Amino acid sequence: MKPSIVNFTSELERETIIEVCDLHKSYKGFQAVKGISFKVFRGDVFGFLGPNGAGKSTTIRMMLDLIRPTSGTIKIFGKSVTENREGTLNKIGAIVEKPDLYGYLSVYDNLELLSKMSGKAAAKEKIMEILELVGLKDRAKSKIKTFSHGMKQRAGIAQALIHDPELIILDEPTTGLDPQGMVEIRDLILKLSRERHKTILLSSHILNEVEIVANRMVIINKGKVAVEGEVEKLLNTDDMKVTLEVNNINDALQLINNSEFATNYRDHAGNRIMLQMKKEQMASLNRKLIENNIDVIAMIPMRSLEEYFLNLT
Amino acid sequence: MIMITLVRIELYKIFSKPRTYIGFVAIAFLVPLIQVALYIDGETYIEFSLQNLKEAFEFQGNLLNGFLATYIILATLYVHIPFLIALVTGDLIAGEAASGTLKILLTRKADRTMIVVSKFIAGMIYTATLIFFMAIISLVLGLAIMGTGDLIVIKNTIYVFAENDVLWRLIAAFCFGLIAMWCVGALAFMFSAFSDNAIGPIILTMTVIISFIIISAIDLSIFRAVKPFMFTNYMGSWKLFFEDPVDYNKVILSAGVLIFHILGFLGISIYHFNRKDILT
Repeated sequence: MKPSIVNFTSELERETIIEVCDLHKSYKGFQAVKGISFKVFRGDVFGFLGPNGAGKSTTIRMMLDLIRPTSGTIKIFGKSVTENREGTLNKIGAIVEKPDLYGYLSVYDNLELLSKMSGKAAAKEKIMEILELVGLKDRAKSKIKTFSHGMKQRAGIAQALIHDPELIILDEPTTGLDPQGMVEIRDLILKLSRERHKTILLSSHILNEVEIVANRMVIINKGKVAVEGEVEKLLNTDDMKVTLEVNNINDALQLINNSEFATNYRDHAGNRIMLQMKKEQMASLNRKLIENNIDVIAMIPMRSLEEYFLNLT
Repeated sequence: MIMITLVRIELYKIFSKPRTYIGFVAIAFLVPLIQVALYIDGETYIEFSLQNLKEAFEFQGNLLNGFLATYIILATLYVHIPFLIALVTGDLIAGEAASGTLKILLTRKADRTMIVVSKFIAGMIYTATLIFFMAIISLVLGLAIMGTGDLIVIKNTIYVFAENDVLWRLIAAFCFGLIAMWCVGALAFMFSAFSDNAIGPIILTMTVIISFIIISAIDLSIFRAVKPFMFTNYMGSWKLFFEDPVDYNKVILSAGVLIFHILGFLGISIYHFNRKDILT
């Protein structure tokens, strides 16, 4: 269940929260970001996807005024971050790459200190509420340096939420987590979107992670935007590449070529056959093979965007 | 108001870190050690210092006293205390850059100048606390162990300060020493603004101070020409309070040069930090 606001309102009617326009960043001759443009609307869980080194973190750092763009503009809540730093950053909570907090302080003390820095000293109840939300209430008084990586990630999310921001920017929040930890963070992101109505920009190099939680996304590669749009449309299942693994390749090929699936055939290698088909065709092909005593060992679907992204990474 | 909050936060962070207490522990160890050593073997030390003068003068009273011990401690430690200062002030920005917490600070609403200035003020408060601690422990322990008495200072000439004329001179010397140490702290802080690792600014600060002191000590014409432009040349001006009369023009000049450097180092830190890309 993804944030559903996109189904009810057109992009034109929605409030733009982030507007990145023709953004460039160069470091000593190396161009890390080359003209990136995209928009994030209120209520979006926006996937910011790209392989490592694509320019995601650099873009996020520019959004947060940690680094200055070489050229281009970033408007957040309709205003330039550099010109309206205080007003803008007060509405943003962020994790940038690693969730670094003060290791020699407890997570409670970290949150108290950072809330004061945001100009809104959080009450004890508020801090405990946030710690409960991220599942760290029982460890409130434990020093950050004693935390596991997953706990540090959750503490990082807690610091991003402590001043009740409207926009949350999470840069690779599941990096280094075990599968259970990844699920917990994803659930938390969905909870923040659905229950607290936060706008979230989620940076990741894992397509599957973005697909599960985001309603819109942009893919960047080598500092440029490759694809942008609604996740459901981009990851449509009408045109899938399916790899079929069977026990008898010759019989399977003969059967496919003499059936309605002949036009779907693309290639074969070893005991694998590659086909291009719609999602709903997969079941009938499977049934047909089994009815003809051909064992189906595996049927691996891959959507076109998935294939494209796999090539990038 | 936000500045007071920021300074409090910075002080809280400074005094939550174990490394902050290294300076206090070092002073709490070294000062009593020097004083006990003086108490045990101080007479020999005084005999040796005054051996040529004793032929012409007669010395009476408690020459080995708490004031002399404090003076000796000041003269001995003002070269070494900079390391303890740099250990903390050199870490204020670079340490946060290295640990990655700088980006968390900078994604809050306080602007960069306020963050730099609050860190700087907190660093200067730490320095003042350390010097105050050193002054208190030196004087209180020295007077408790060795009592009071006149203070003899031998420079180009011999000065004998009456017992009731010493305390204010020592307090003034510590105050001047504090300005000198603020200058060291400001230098380490400036290096900290340029660095992303916590060790670099400390090493660099000590390298600059030691190099400048060595250059000042070598009496060659080429070094004599640059000597007035090296701030370390003015750090030892606390000794001017142990002359009679005190040359206040020299004191003011030295303090002015040091304060000029402090403000310069802070200005450079603010300028650079406001333009710095935070990549860690």
